[in-house]
Amino acid sequence: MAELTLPENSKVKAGKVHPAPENAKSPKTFKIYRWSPDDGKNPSLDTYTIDQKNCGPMILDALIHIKNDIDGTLTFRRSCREGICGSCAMNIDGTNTLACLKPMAEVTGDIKIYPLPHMPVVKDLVPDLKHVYAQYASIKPWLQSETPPPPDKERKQSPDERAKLDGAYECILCFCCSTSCPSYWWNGDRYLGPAILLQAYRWLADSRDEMAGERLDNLEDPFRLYRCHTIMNCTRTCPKGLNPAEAIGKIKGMMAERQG
Amino acid sequence: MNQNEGLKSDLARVRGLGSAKSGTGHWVGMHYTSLALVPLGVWFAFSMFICIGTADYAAARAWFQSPINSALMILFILVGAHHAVSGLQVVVEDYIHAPFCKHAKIIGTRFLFAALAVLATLSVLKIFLGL
Repeated sequence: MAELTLPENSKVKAGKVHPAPENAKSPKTFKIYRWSPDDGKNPSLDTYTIDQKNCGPMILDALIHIKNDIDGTLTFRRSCREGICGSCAMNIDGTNTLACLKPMAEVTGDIKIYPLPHMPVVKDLVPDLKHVYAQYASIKPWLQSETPPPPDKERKQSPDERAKLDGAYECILCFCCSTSCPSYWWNGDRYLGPAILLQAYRWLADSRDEMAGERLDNLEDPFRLYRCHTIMNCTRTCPKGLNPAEAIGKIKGMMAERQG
Repeated sequence: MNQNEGLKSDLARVRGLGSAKSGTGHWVGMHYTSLALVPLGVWFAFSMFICIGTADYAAARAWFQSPINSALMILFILVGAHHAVSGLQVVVEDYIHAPFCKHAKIIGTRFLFAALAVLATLSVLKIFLGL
């Protein structure tokens, strides 16, 4: 039977409230999803009101401020704090993005933060990424070639051939796109999702790779590739401004091209 | 995510039974039928609402007895049924995950639309042939 509501133990309840510090000059309220595997409680939405004067301008700055100075139990991933590692991907103000690239000033009203949608949660804002990493491994994301490389130099590639990788190689695997895709929500066990398909295209488009046929064979499947219904959430949400939907369209074009 | 696969590794779950090596025909078919349905749909709407929308029974029969009209009508029925079956199959695959229920719905949809398409085609032919 269809389940139209969350299971009882997944319903998000009101959580703790951490009021603004006294004499706060520039208060901003965060409502942050909290869940711990250890206490058996339902998820909750904790409220933190911070003084923006006490931290940098980005949402990640505020999260680090909350963890350091208000509530050390708040759990999230972060590393480079400049949009290149993809660790701090989360759902902010209803859109998947990187906390380090999203300024607090871009959000009007309270800032609601949830983990990436429809993924198992390890704790608080940390999603379990084992499945997407296994999907990434399944497309063999490395250069495959039977021709040995020249003994004393790299494999050659013309500037035009290299330009075909633009828009694909920049992906940082934050999975904002895959977790924004309704088709990935419903069929993520079999559909590879936009992040992985963009990477699959990155190797299909590489002039030095010799396994395009095998790569296409591996993708030609009603679920692995063709669950993409061009919904375009992936392209709208990508914090790096990439276009996974276009890459998926190009893979479908290659599939049609080799039919005749 | 399917949590009911015991102690299989994540990669084994992802690889599953391998690629079906199909799907391209279905995808191309959906595109071709959509393309064909653009002119056919415009023709159908124009015919139904402008040409025979206000006509009496005899005039409507006469309209169907034109070879061009009946041919286009049969094309519209067959292409529309093919497109509808393909589209509904995708909807079922998207949202129905219980294997028996999924296959029953896909097979049922195919049978239903095959029957409807044959019935509609025979009806057009019956008028065309003046039976």
